[in-house]
Formats: sequence, C-alpha cells, structure tokens
Amino acid sequence: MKNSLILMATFLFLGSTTSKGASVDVVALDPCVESAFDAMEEMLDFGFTPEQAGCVGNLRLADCLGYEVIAGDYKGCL
Amino acid sequence: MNLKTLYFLLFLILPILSFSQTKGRIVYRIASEQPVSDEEESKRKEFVEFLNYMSEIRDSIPFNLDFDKQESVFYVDTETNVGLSDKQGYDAIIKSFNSYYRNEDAKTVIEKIIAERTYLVESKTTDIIWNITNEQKMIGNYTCIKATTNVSGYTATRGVFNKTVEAWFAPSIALPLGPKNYGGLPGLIMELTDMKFTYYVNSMNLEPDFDLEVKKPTRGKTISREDYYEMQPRISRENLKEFIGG
Repeated sequence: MKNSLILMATFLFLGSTTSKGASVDVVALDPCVESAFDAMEEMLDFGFTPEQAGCVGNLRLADCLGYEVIAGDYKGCL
Repeated sequence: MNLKTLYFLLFLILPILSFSQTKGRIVYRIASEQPVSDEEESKRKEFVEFLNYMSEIRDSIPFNLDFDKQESVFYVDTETNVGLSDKQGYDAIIKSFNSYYRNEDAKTVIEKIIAERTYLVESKTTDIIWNITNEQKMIGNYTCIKATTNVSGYTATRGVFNKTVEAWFAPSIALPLGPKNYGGLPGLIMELTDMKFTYYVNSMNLEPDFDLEVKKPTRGKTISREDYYEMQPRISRENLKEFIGG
C-alpha cells in the first residue's frame, strides 16, 4: 500500500511537471528531481544496476515530496 | 641520466623482472567513501542511514587476488563467512562487483560482468598508463610510492567519463598486481582509490598451503569495453521517469 502511494506520488509529480508545459530545464532544476537523480548517481557509482538505482531514486523523490520513507524501504531496492 | 636516477629506475624495474615464479593470494578489503552531499543532512537522513548500512556490509567483504606465474584473478570471496551474509541486500552488494582475470604474458585483462547475461570485457594491460610520483608513505611495514592514472569509466548517469585512480605500491613486494584491473606497477598495489572505494591489503599469503587455481574465464559473450558501454542505458534528468517507479 505504502509503495503504491509512493509510486502514485511519483507519477503524479512527474505528470504535473510536464502537463503544465514545463520545459525540460524546469524539470531539471526541480530540487526533488535533482535529489532523485543524485541518489541514482550515487547508487550507480557504487556499482548497482540502473533498476536498483531507479528504485532508490523513486523513494528519494517520494521522501523529498514529503512522504514518509525509512531506511528499510531503501533496503528493499537491493 | 645521472647515477641517482639510474638507481631509482633499477629500484623500480627489478621487482618486475623477478616476477615469474610466484604463486599466492593477496586479500583486499574496501573502505567505502563516507556519504557527502550539498543537501542538508536532515533532508536525507534515511538515505544516508541506508548508504551507511550498505558500507558496513561492503567493507566487511574480502576480495581475493590469486596469482600463479603470469596469471591472476581478482574476485569477491563469497566462501569466507564474514558474519553479515544474512543481512538484507548482501547478495546485491556481492553482485555489484565484477571479477578480473589478468595475463601478464598476453598483456590482456578480462572483466567478467554478470548481468542479464555474462559478458567478458577484454582490454590490454598496457591501456593503463601510470604516472609514478615522488610521494612516499608507509603502509604497515612497507614503504609505498604513489602512482596515478587517468582511465575511462561508465555509469548510466555520467555516460563515459574520465577519472583519476590513485595507487600506492610497494617496490619491495615483487608483484606487478593490484585490485580490479589495476597492475603493471613495479610492486604490489597496497592501496588503491577508485571513485568511492579504497581497496587496501588485508593479508598476504605468498606460500599458500592450499589449492589455488587461476582460471581464464571462457563462458560469456566476449566484447570490447567500448561496445559494452555502447549497450548500456543512459539516464538523464530529462528521461528520469523512465527509470524510476518501474
């Protein structure tokens, strides 16, 4: 249930950034997108797969958007 | 060339000339870089806790460098029970490391990558060009010299990028070997920093009393490093949504 909420939040968020006609630059400057991207980069630097990095990026985004995410949720990506 | 320079060169070259008869195992471990970010610590507390959790597991894993004459192989030692193997994510962390085969005669390195299938990524030992500096430090009882090299790397977010790798080698240990695909220095690499990881020698066994076999990997698709990079996904801020939540 919690994961579904996070997933939904992610798509809603991403949808909102583009449906309002936001340019690519605006998306890139969003601090939560930046947090998610940085987290993914960190995971990839540690040698994890893009899928694992994507999972962590999703949680990082949800965390940034105000959803409760705990360390145990991140562990589920491994 | 003055006499001092000549002695220094001999000091560097002699260990390599004498490498031909040895067999043994060097065990390395990792010290993971501490998480750093421009973001406020409180805003990524849970994520940092997760990164530290992974580091605790990773830093406990032994990596073996087995060598026999001109061949060597560097791999994660999954046999030794480190006490953390039952932790969540242990297997994923183990799988995040590749193994490397090296042949000094053939001047080849094969990186074995196990992904959706097994790839054998071939390169040359001579691809790595070291800059040996004058800096020295003691590691244990060994005087070590610093060397650096610039090599290419690849991650899905960075694409192909250049990075500087720093090594500290011990000329008194006549093995031109080291962690991962790094070697070719006139002495064993005792410490090596590659991005977020610092590999360091944990133990050495130069007269093993156990069976030690170095095998060239043969099963897998042989591919060049450039072609392997070409096959990998590319993640940018613009296409991020294709990779998250899926």
